[in-house]
Amino acid sequence: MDERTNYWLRRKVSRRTALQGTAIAGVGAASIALVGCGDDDDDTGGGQGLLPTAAASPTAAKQPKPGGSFSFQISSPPPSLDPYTQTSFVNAYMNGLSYSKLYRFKAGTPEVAPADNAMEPDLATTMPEQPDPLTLIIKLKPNVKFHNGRALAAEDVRYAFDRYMNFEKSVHKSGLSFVDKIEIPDPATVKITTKIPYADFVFYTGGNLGAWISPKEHAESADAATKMVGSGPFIHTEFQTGVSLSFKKNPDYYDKPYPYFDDVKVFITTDQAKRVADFSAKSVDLTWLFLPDERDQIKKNRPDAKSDETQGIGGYIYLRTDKPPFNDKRVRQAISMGLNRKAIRDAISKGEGVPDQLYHVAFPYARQVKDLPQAKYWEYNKVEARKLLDAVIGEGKTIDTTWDHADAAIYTQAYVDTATLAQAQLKEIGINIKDQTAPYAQYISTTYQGQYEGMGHSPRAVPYWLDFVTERFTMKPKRGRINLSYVNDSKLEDLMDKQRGQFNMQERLQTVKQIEEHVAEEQYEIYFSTDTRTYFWNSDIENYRPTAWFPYTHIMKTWRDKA
Amino acid sequence: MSQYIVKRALFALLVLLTISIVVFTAVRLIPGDVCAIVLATPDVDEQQCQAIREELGLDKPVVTQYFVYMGNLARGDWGTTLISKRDVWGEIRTRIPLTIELTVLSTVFAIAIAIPVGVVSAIRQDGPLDYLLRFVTIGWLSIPSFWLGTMLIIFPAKWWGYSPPIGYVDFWHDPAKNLEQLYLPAFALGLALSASLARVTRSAMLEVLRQDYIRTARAKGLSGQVVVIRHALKNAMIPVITLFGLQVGVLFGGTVVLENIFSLPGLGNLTLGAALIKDYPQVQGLVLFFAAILVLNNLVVDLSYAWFDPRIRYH
Repeated sequence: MDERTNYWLRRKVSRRTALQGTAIAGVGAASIALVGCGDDDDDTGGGQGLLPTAAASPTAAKQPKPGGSFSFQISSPPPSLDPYTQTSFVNAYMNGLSYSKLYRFKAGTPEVAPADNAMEPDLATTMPEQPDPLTLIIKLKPNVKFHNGRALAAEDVRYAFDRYMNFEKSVHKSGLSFVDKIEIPDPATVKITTKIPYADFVFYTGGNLGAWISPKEHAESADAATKMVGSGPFIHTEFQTGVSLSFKKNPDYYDKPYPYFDDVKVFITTDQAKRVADFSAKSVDLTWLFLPDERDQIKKNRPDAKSDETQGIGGYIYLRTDKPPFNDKRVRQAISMGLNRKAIRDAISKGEGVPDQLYHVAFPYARQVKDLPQAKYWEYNKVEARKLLDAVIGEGKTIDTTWDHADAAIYTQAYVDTATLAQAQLKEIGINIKDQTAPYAQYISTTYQGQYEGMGHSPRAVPYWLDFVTERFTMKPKRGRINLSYVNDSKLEDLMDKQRGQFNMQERLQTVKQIEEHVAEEQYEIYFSTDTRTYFWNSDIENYRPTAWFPYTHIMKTWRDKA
Repeated sequence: MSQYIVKRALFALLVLLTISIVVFTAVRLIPGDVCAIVLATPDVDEQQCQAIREELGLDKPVVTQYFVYMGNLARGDWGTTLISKRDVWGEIRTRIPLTIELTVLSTVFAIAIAIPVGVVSAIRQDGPLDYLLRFVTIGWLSIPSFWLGTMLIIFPAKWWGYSPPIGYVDFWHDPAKNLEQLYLPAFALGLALSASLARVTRSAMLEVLRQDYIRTARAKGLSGQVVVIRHALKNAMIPVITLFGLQVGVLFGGTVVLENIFSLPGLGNLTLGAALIKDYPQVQGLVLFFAAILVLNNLVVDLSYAWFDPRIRYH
């Protein structure tokens, strides 16, 4: 094995990484991703440090107790359970219970930091062999069966990826555009050839976009949107629209001794107050994503419950960098310096959270904003901001622009309040903003498609693979999902191309740092702050920890102490 | 009478037809590409979008789309939802019982509160009890049902660790659990309605109590209770029924919010969900369904006048 061969295997979680973190949760296109972060090092602590450490809590050597049932809440209904046509984070929660992938996240148990994107084999026996930079050979585990009783073979993997790449309604074509061809040397082996050396292969195929293996007979059936027939730890038994999803243990699951629970029930509870009440009344075992107000309320109501406090990813501003006045980076820098992020945090999340940047600050490979050479652009400085504007538009002149965003129905009131506060702050430096609020569906199908003038505002979605920057900033066709800020920057393009082919993680992280600094200098996207989100679960639930990632496969490793 | 009903039914059809045109057009005027909604990601190309539009018939002129839709509707085909590809009518049908049950329970709450309050307030006109009840009903009128619903969730959980059972259970499967899930939203929904009904009941009762036939009834030596209940109350019901008829729409509107707050899978929940993701086949179907219910409701209200007041005749 050369260095590339063992790239996937060599990735280690440092102590620092292991101690970092709590959770991310996100919303696909409608994403609010949440990452918790703690740190045992003083260098990132201090006045503007992260929250108190949500330290890894190594499991006491307890004997798992199989049996019993488990329930948790999700905040919105899955639009469709078909993994081929959806990117929704809610789908990922559910798909993770019933479908398998080649790889899966390790996170979700106390030993692993929630924001750690390390992978472990799922259907694959090991990490892929890589005889050359473009070839990946994956051996499948034996005796894997779909829930319909049919054996899973390499051909099913090939079918799934082919459907992700070629099905007319697939929404994963760009994401898998690095794949050139898939061959089946034998029924237990998948050989994937990539068009370019792609360092994110395992992270991508272990994630929740274009990765689930759903069999042909189900994928092409009329039930694909409302039922799941996978090979995962739990068999999907019922979908009561708008109410709940039910699962039972897969007795033939290939990864023994998992799963421990006999039944899993998922309740769709859209109202935040109801989620608080249901957990307070001990109606569910697990609930999550509570802002400080609700967190404090639940802690009062349920002092017995376990919890993990996390940092949430807030939102960001995107703007038309292809047109005046936002094509001048000084205007973008002025906007960033005109934002009083602390005041917004005080108003929205009881002052909790820290400024955020391109690579979310809780990730092991990202830096705190204060550690960036361009940190000054995050400092609230109206005078300097105005000077930058004066240099571009002339002394005393103002900019009139628009700010498009969705209403609070999906993205929450905190998101809308952030927009309101930020607009008022920017007015003080001479940027007069016309607020344009749209219903979610309208926003997502117009503004979020790039149909806007001026500025826009969205919650962040922070994926689990480092190459996610490409989808944000490339102008090359079929490589990016969307480039909302209309960035056309050859230097950035080169850096993005470089990092995706770097199999040496240290070298890759150097490139990532360059990207971080370049985007910080250019302020192509202007980031707000993280906030605090909390997960709660019953005290008798063992071997559980929140995870940054959407698939809730790790529930299979959880058990109830009193089972 | 039957001639009147036929005339009203035809008029109702015309109303529904007009509503169908308005809804059909309005949904298509909302900005945004349906392709982006169906595929829910910017990661799509024009070819994919074209395929989606063709599948949904959106590549045809709007007038053609409308006639195709109405033709299908006439055959009982309400279409399929945009993303989950479920049958639109199937989705509506399965949720009707819950919403009907919720509105009926709300009505029961509303009437059980409103009629006694209105009657007592009228017969104790300008007394301390009247002032108190009027003050209280104004308070109820001012409380939005969504706020009351939220309070009814938060405080029992905070004080007693109580929350209605999670996960909806059908009435026929477990009536006790079903009613436990519904009584709080029904109360929240019914309270505001009870306030307006109580106030109208009071006004109508005051008017009726001054009528000659009431004086005659009293002069005959009938007890106050008999006069009020048998002679006054029934005759005072016309404006109350009228108001109630008008409030049915408000009740349905209230279910949209309350079903979501209490996680109840009814028509209101479906409506909000469909509107949020711009699932226009579902929205169209729901609006038409609600419109049909309201038109029917108004017809029933009109016909009920004759029962309450035999002097009313239909021509």
